Parts: sequence; structure tokens; C-alpha cells
Amino acid sequence: MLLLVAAFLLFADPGQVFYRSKTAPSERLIRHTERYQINNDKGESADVELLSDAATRSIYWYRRLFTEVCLTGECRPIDIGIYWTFDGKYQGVEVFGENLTKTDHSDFSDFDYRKLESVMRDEWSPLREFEFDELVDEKKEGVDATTGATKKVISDASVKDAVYTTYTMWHLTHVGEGEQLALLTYRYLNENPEVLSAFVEDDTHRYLSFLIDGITSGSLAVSPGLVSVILKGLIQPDVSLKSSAFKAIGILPLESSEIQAGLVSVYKQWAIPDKNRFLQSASSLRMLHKKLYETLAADLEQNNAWFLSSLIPVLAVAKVQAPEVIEKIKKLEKSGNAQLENAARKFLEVTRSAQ
Amino acid sequence: MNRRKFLNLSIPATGAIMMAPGLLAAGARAEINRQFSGSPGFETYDLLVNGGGLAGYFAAMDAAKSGKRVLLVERRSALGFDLTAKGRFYLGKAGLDRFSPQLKQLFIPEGEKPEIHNKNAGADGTIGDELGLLAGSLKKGLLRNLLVNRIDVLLMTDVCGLFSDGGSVSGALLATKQGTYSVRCSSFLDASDIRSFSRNLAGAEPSPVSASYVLEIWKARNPIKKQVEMPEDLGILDNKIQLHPGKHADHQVFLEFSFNAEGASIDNIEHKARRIAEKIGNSLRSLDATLSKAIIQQLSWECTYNLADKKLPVSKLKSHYISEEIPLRTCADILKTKEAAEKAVKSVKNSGKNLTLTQLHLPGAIVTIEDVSFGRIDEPGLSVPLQSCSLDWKSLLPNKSAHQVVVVGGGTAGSMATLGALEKGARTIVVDYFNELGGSKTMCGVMGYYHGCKDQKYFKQQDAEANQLAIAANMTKKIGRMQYLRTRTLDRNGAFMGRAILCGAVKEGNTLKGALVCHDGQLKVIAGDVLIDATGDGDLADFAGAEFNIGDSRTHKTQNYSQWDIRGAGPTPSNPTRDYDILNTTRIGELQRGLFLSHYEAHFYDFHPMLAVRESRRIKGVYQLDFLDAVEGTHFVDALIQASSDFDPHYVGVSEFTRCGFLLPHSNEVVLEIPYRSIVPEKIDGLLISGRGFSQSQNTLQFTRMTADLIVLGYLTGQIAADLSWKGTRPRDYDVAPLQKEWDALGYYPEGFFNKKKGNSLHDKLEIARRVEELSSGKREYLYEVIKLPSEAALPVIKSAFSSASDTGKLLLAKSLAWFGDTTGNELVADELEKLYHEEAVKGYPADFVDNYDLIRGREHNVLEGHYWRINQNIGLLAMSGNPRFNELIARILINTTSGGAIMTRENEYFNGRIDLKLVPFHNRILNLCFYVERLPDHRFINPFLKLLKDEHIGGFVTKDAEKTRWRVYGGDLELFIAAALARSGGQKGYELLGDYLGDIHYDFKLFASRELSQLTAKDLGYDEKKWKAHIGGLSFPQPIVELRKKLDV
Repeated sequence: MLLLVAAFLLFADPGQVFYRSKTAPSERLIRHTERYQINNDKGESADVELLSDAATRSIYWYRRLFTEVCLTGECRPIDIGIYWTFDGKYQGVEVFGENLTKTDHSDFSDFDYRKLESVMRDEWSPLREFEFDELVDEKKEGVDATTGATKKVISDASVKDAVYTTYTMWHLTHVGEGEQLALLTYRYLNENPEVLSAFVEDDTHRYLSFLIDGITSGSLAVSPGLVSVILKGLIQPDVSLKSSAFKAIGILPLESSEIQAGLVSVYKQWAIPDKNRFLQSASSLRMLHKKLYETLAADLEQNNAWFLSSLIPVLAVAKVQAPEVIEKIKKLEKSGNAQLENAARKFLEVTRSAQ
Repeated sequence: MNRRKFLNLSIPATGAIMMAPGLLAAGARAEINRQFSGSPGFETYDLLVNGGGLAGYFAAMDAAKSGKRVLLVERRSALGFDLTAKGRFYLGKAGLDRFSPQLKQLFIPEGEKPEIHNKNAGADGTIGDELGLLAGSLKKGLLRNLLVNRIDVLLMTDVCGLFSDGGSVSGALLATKQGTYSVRCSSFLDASDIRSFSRNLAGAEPSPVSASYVLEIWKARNPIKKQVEMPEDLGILDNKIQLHPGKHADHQVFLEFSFNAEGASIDNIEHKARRIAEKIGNSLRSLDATLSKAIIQQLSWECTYNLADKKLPVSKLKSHYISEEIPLRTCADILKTKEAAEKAVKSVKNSGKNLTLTQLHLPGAIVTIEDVSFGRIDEPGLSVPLQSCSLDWKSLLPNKSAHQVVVVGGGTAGSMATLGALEKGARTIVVDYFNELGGSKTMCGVMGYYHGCKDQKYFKQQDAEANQLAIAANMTKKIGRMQYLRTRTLDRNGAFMGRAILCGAVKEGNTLKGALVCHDGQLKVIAGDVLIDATGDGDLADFAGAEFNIGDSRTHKTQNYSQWDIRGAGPTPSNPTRDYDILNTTRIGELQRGLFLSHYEAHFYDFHPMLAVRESRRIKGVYQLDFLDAVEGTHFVDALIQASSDFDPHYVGVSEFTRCGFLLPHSNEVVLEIPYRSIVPEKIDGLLISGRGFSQSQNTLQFTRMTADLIVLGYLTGQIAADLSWKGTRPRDYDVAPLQKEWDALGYYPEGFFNKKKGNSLHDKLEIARRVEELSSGKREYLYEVIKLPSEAALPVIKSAFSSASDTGKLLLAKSLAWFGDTTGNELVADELEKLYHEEAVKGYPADFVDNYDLIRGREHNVLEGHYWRINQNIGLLAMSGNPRFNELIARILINTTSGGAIMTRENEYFNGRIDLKLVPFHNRILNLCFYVERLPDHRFINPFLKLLKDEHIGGFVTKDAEKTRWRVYGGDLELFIAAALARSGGQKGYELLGDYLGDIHYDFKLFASRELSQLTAKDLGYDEKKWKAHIGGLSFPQPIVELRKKLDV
């Protein structure tokens, strides 16, 4: 029944807006017709809409819903629309039909809406830790109240005398919704390469970071455009982006000659721990681009046994070994470090058998 | 799960036949208790059974029935691994009609009926052509039957070697989280999974060709299909999965698949199974209409392995038997297993000779007894005859591996430390007891977050990533988190060794070089440049010889532990989350007692495999974080993270701050900093501490143990460990500043965090003067602010202010002087105490006479309201003054003090269900009187205490029965404090009571009683109750008074 109502509302005149967050999207948005669904707290499917600007540069998710907040047998309807950003963050809310009301039936004041906004913006509100049935103990406190130890915590995190409304709206926005919507965006990007390209071209931290996270989690299919995003991320001065890009290295198709060539200049800029991280990901390679081989071989001068024992197996992949590389590794076979000696020994065995 | 649910408990009415507390017959209580009743009185078992699967269970039962003394050892935390760990909760019906009534009771117990919510399940437990099983039913029933048959059981224990004498087995080497131990036995039966111990010992490492794995699915629709076709790219053998309906719920179905395992190690097979499970999860809802709304509810803990060479190995040792392996697919297989086990037992021949331990046989090594060291163990309650046993692990063990970073413990902090180290490019391995990562969150099921800095960027990021994986793979959040931690570790080229019991350490001088683990029955040294102790219990640091503290400074008791049920599909007869008892998991007997108790109390569907133990060792570090750092917001130049909580000790604290009313439960909500130096052990190099075991006082632990904070601490610790390895630096010489800058740039700290002024204002002269002036003006909230000041700097200022102050200000200053041990103005405190006490006596108990947590939690500025705690505070402060002038007043209060009645019924179910609130009304008053008397003992206090002990609600809490501990432990704690205070006043009854507590089941209580008696009498008779009682009997009373002198617990 609720679904039907919701579906009707989606296509009906939205009606009078009693409240709209200042942060809600202000530009003219296009409503996409594909059907998208998320699961609510109870595991039931709920429709969400994809909204975007004309150029599909800005993407939002939107859920219009009409529900009732019931307590002690009395129900108050709320008719709201919630906006999320493309990466599932709360963006704003609209209130339709009538103002939100409090337990004494008075309308929310401006102050109450400001409080509501501050609660809604907190994705880790203490309200996360409580279940609906914990909000009331009618015998002790009457309507819309909390008891005991929870009282202060919950009331601090709610609009005064509107605990249920605040709780309901927060939970409709933050308990798993963000993660599901981000996944829907990835799905949308996978299905719409032109939008993905727009994201890639946008080049802002938030977009790049979102894309890299999608690659790392396997939610975004790796494409040439995304490979360039990772390569770009790997040399970013922005440590946050660089950190994310590193997590995606293992997912890159490192066998690709182009990617290996692209990594040469990137590799040279890295410190030893970053290089080692790459080498471990490269340990299962079956071919090595000549330029990358030369770059790696130059690192045989490094004086760190752990690093060298990661480097040597990758060098061993090369079909043709430079004599100076073999000579250097022969010396390392007698380094006194068991790990390194073992790596050198294996390298020399492989090299000998190849000759 | 939210905090309140976590704490909420009620008496389960489950397991009507055998488990419900309060309904247990004395005989049933004895089942658990027998193994913890003191000295064993024998040296050698007739039979040691290795492995508590069905084969081991039947063999142990049969041997015991034939009169043999049997010890069964099981690596996991529960029994029946071939069904329970492998997730095989279905058996073909064939053979069920031949089950004896005992077998039926084991597999289909009456007690599980309230938890069967599938209407299609028959009364005989069958569903379709299969017998449905519940994990909890099996785990509970198997353990209970063994205990009833007087078989000793050690869970979470593995056999890793055999001792021999003249070619015959004479004992075994056991690995537990407490260390390595020898136990004597004249015969040994290996019933371990795929008999890996015997195979490895014979040099024939088990090599599976394929393996199968089971997922428990919920929300399946009409799950009657037997098989579903699978896409080829999933790597499932025959591209088919088998479906088995569950009897617990009508939407429950078990999904079994097989896959190629050739050439892979057991760990890699386990990884592969989860990778496939995730892939299945990703496409679960499109696989078949049956699964269109399905969710992966549970993963089985282990794969079932199919070996290439099924032939059992031949042991070189006589009396080393190996049980036949029979795959369990039908009820008939259960009967076959039983017959085979009984046949194996019949073949067991005991030489009858007195065997000695002459050689130790380990996989790949034989060690002569001269190279083995034995020692006595500090396990006063345990009735299993063990000796500690060690050797030079590094030189004598063939199995070693080397890494840059070794993370021991893959729990809340350790799993994140692993990711942190990997992200810094270090070759990293994480070693855990379980086959899954996540610890308290996943293995205990504590998935909610209570306090903690949840706005921290990395915390939010990892939580969102884990949740996203769960959503994409149609898994519950908990299963998704397990999977997230595993795949991220492996994808970043890390190694994860599951099923490993940490049991020792390898050192060179004061530098830790490696961890000793028992992995599938083999001892292995896992060496590292840097090791991280993320056990949460400080086990690795302890093995390395680091100093530590545990529990409170008087009795060393720790917070109560829990073991949660896994939430089932329908209502349970009682709450699925329970708190139990206090437990010191550094002792074998205590851990086993905890495991047994929770088996008996759990529901039948299933329960989590890990005890949620809130507190254990705190390793002494280069810097010990204290309460003042927490509440004064000390800023550290080497700060790693911020942590946040209120003071959450889970019972009534015993430190001076608490007794004087400055640090009551759920007070003092703060954000504090944890510095790098507190994760660096003071005297051991090569080691960092992560998780709750870092260097801090017990008061501080109550603010820092929140999982949101430990996740971030773990992650950063891992990065530091990697950097230490790359730089070749000792932890104590390390400069964390460059990493801090990097983390700051990543947004891990609040704006301006590193611009804060170093330290706190406690030593600032102006601040001291300001606080004292405010107090002097009569502002009550400044009493708390002044008592935190350093004594030597504050005292002169307070004294000066006192001389000119008047009225309330003077009284408040007098109180602060008393706190600092000064006698000036004590009479003002005593006058107020007398006045308040008189008012309380005339008007009756004020509303706050019980410890109402809400009144405490809601206190503004930490100010005490109401008479109850103000009286308590004044008693505490007079004790702190060290001035005996008011002993008469205290004796008068004491003589008129009673329990106040029976253990209080609280105002709602939540409070009423908390074990740490099972207190008599005047629990805290009595504790404070003890606090006073211990510091200012006097013969005058003897009679008042004797009168108090006659109160029917005060005495008689010595606990000998394991089952009884739950609701009694805090009564026992109070009685023990009375005993100590009375004894210190010279009273005979105090000595006798301490003697009685030597027989209490709790290790910490025994230890406290023994130490108090030693201090009182200057004798050391250990835990020997008889000897102590004889000694006490020879003393003349009243004995001289003995004051308690101790440092302030900050």
C-alpha cells in the first residue's frame, strides 16, 4: 500500500513544500525513468529516483515517501523527500503536505528545522544505536519520551519533543541507504560510459576518489578511462587520493604493456614502501615491459633486503636478462640474508633454465 | 546491535533438560564444577583423545564408560567440528531409525523445540528426506554428555607433540593461549580433522584435492529444490550447488558447493571458499527464483576437505592410535563413526607401566627430554594435571617463516593493523585463532558501536566499505565485515593464517623475534622485524616477558564477560545476549569455566564462537596513560588517535577516585588522546601493542576500549610497524612525526589538532590558583577540579586559602585537603558526615540511595547530589586523610549499617538484568566503610563488621559451583572486601573468611585472599586452604592491625 502511494506521489504534483533544506539541489534536475531500488531497515524494497542536471554532471538520488510516525496509538503522517549525493551522502530534505509537528501538535519552528538539519547531517548520530521500541516507556514518561540512560543521549540527538519524527527521518536516510546508493551510482556508471567519462573528466577530488573506491571494491569495471584515473591518482600530491589509488593497483591489468609503460614514470617517484607495494602486486606478472624492466633493474642498488627480495622475482619475469642484472643478483645470493638469498637463488635457477 | 541490547540479559529458560540456571540439580552443577575443583589427585590419563568431532566424542564416551580416565582436547571453542564447524546441519535420514534414545537426545534434543520455526519440520527433527540439525544443540549436548561422563575436556587447546618412553606414547604436548603444557597419558587417539596431527607427524602432510563449503541462507522462498545450476566462472565443481532446507526456519536453506583444491594449503583453500562465497553472494538473487530475496546469513567456519590419499598414516609410536575417517553424510554415517570409534577404543592397550617422558616427537623433529623444560603451573582450581613445558623453539623447530610485520590477533585492532602495514608496503602476516578476522565484532557478534570517535575519517571509510561489500554480496553486515577484512588483506598481498593458537614467543635478549603458534597441530615460529600484539589480552607481550597489570589494583578482577547467541530467525525463549561472570583468561581453568558456562546457558540455534572478554592484561609501556590524561585532555606531541567514552567500568570501581565519588560509572564523558609511547612496551623491543592492551591504568581503560577507536588505533599501529621495519628502527627510538603529518593530511585529525598546547594545565600555577579560588568561593563543582591537581603544588595553595575561607568554601577546601592526605579541617568533613548521616537516619533512605545510573550519568559538572553518595564521599575522604581521629564516628556508622535488604530489583528490565547491578542497597556504603577501615584499621571495627556479616544478605557468597557465580560474584566481591578490612583490623572472622575464599571458584578471589593472608601473616602458604586454616587456627586474636598502604590508582 505504501509503495503504491509512494509511486503515485512520484508522478503527481509534489504539492506545497513546507520546508526545504538550503542544501537541497537548487538547479533544475531531470528525473531518470529507470527503476532503482534500495532495501529499507526492514529489508523491504523501496524505490529511489535518479536525478541529474542536463549534462549529467551532477547526480542525486531522491526518495519521496509518505509514512506515518505512530506512538501510543496516535499516528502523525509525514510526507517527505530526501536527497542524497551520487556517493550516498545526505544532501537535503523536503517536507510536503503539512509542517512537521511535535508531540503537542505544534508545528516545527525555524529553530526545530535547524536542529533537524544538524541531526540529519550527522551520519553517525547516536540515533544509530537505538531501535524504535527503545524510544518510549509509556508507563514512566508518557508520550514521545525516552527513559533512563538513553533519555539524555536520544533527546540531545533529536528535535525537542519530536524524537520519533527525528528518529524516523534519520534512519530513513542513514542506515545502509548511503552505501546502497553509492552502489547504484556505480551500476549506473557501468551502464552509461559517457557519464563515467564525464566523471573522469571532472577531475575533482571527490569524483576521483569515488571512482577509485569503486574500482578497489570491484563495483566499477576497469576501463581505459579508469586506468588513467588510477595512474593519475598514484602521483597526486593529495595523499588521500594517492592512498586510494594505491589500493587499486592490484586490480589494474598489470599485464598490459601500455599500463606497464605508464607506470615507469610513476614508479620512479615512489619511496621504497610504495615501490614494494607495487612489486608485491606485480609478483604474478608473466611479462615485463622493457622500460619497466630497466627502471626496476636500476633499483638493484637499493640496500634493503625486504625490498630486493620483492624486486628480484619481478625481474625474473623478463624473458631477456641484462648481464649486469645477473651479476648483481649473483652477489646477492651470498648476502647473508636468508630471504634475499632465496629470491636470488630462484632467479638464477629460472635464468639458467631459460638459457 | 545497540549498547542496551548488549548489556541486557535475563535468565534463559532454554535447555529445560540441562541448561536452565536455577533449575539445575546439584548433580548437574557438579558436571561443570568437577574439572575446577582443585588438585587432580592423579598424574596420567589412560587415554588422550585429540579432536572433539564425532569420532573423538564417541571414542571418549566409550573409553570413559569402560572405566578409563579420559582427556579430550579440542582446538576449537566448541565440539562436533565435523558438523558444527563445517556447517553441515543436515544428514540423510537413512539410519535415523537405528538411533538409540541417547543419540536422538543428542541430535534432536527436546530443549530445541521452541527454536524450531519451520512448520515443515517433523516432530522427529526431519525435514524432507533429511534430519535437520541445530549447531547450538550439538555443541551443548556433546559437551554436556562428556562432562556428565566425567571426561575432562579442554577446549581451545591443540595437541602439537607426543612424548614417548621406550617407543610408547607417554604424554602429549598441548598448546593453549596460556602457553605450552605437557600432560601424561598412556595412550593417544588422534581424531583431529583429516587426522592432520598424525599425518604431519608421519611426514605425510595432508593434501586435499577438493573441498566443499556451506553457506547458510535466509529469506529463501519455498526452499525445496535440491540443486541449482551455477555459472561456470564461479569455479564450482560440476557447476552445481546443493540445497538443504533448514529446520530452524521455513526460509532457511544450506547451500553447499565443492571446488578444486589441488596443490593449495589449508589456509588457501579456506580463502578460496570465501572468494567463491562472495561471488555467489554477488549474484545470489539472480541464481534461482528460490533465492530471489535471499541473504547469506552465516558462513561455515571451515571447509570439508577431500584428501587425495585417504590412507591413514602409520605411527612409529606404540599406543598412538588413529581413528578411522568416515565422511558424515547420513545418519547411518553417524552410526558407522560410532562403531569405528568404539572399535578403536577396544584396540587401545594400556601397558600398565609407569611411563616417563623421555622424548618429544614433533612434526619434523625429535627432541630429547634434556632439551625440554618443565614447570609448575599457577592454576589452583584446575583438576587437569598439566605442567608447563617449553624448549628452545627457534633452534629446535623446523617450521619457520619470516615477515616484516607479524600481527598476532586479527580482531578489532589487529585486522586493521594488518591493513595499515600492508598499505605501507610491508610483507605482513596476520595470525589468528579463528578462521575469520574481526574478533569481537564478528566472532562475538558485537557489531554495534557505543561510544568512540565515530566522526574519524578512516573509521567512517572502512565501515562504509565493509557495509558496501555486505550489500553487494547479499551478506549480513557481520559476514560482510569478515569478508571485507579477509579480501582486503589478501588483495593487498598480505597473508592470513587462521586456526593458529599463539602459545609462546621467540626472543633474543630483550628483543622479540617471533611468535610461536600451533597451527593445525604443528608448532611454527612466525618471525618478524616488528610484531604487533593485537590479542587484546597482551598474550604475546606476556610470552615475551613484558610487565603488565590486570584488573583493579586490589583484587585484580576484570569486568564481566559475555558470550552471545547468534540471533535466530524467530523469538527465543529468553534474551540472546547475556553477561556471565568475572573471568581471568590468563588462566586455563578460568577460560574453560567460561566456555562451559556459556555452552550450558546458550540457546539451541547457535552461539558465537568467542567469549567477549572486556578486560585483560595492560602491558606496561614507555608511557602509561592515566585517568588525569583522560579527563584533563592531555595533548601529546606523539598522539596517535583520539578516543571517546564515558567512564564505563561495568561494575562499581574500587579506585580512590571512585570511592570518593569523583569517578562513578557513566560519568566523565571525555575525548582523550592516546600517545605513541603507550603502545611501546617499556622493556621489550621488536613489539608494539595494539587494541585495548596498551599501557594505561585500569581507570583509563574504561574510556579507551570502544571499538570505533581501536579500529583506528590498530590501523595506525600497522602503519608504524611497517615504517619501523623499513627504517630498521627500534620502536623506542622511533619518531612518529612524519607519519602524523601524513595522517593529518589525510584528514584523520580534527582541525588544529597539532597546534594544541602540549600537556595539560594541571601544573600551571595560575590554573591551580584559579581552581582553588573557585573552590574557596563555594563552587562545589571545583572540588573535582581541585583534587586532580598535583598534591605538592596544590596543597600549599589550598592550605593558604583554607585559613581565610569561610562557610561552604572552607568545607570544600577541607575536603580537598583530606583527599591529599592532610588533616587540616578534617573535623569539618566529619561534622558534615555526621549531619548528613543523622538526616539520612531520621528521614529514611533518600531517593538516590541506590546507585541509579541515570542520576550519575546526568550529573552536571560531576557534582554529587543527594545524601547517599555525599556520605560515601565523606567517608572516603576521611580515609584518604589518614587521620584516625574519627574512627569512633566511623565505627558508629558501621555498627548501624546494614545491607539495606536483598539484592535490589531495578526500575526496569534493562537495569534489572545487569549482573554488575546485582547489589544490595548499601553495597557502595559498605565498600566505602571497608575502604576507610583498610586504611585506618582499628580493633573497634571488629564487632561492627561481625554484626554486618550476620546480615542475611551480606555473608555466604563464597562460590564453589560454577553455575552459581553469575548473580553472586559482586556479592562475593563485597564480602571479600569486608573480610580484608576485618582482618586488617585484627578480627579472626576476617582471617577465616579470607581462608574460605581460597576455595572460591574465581582465580582472582583466591589470589586476593592468598595475598592478603600473606601480607597479614608474613607467611606464604599459597592457595592451600587447609594449611592456611590450620595456621589461622593457631593465631591469637585480635591480631595486630595492618594498614593498607598503596599508591593512588590514577
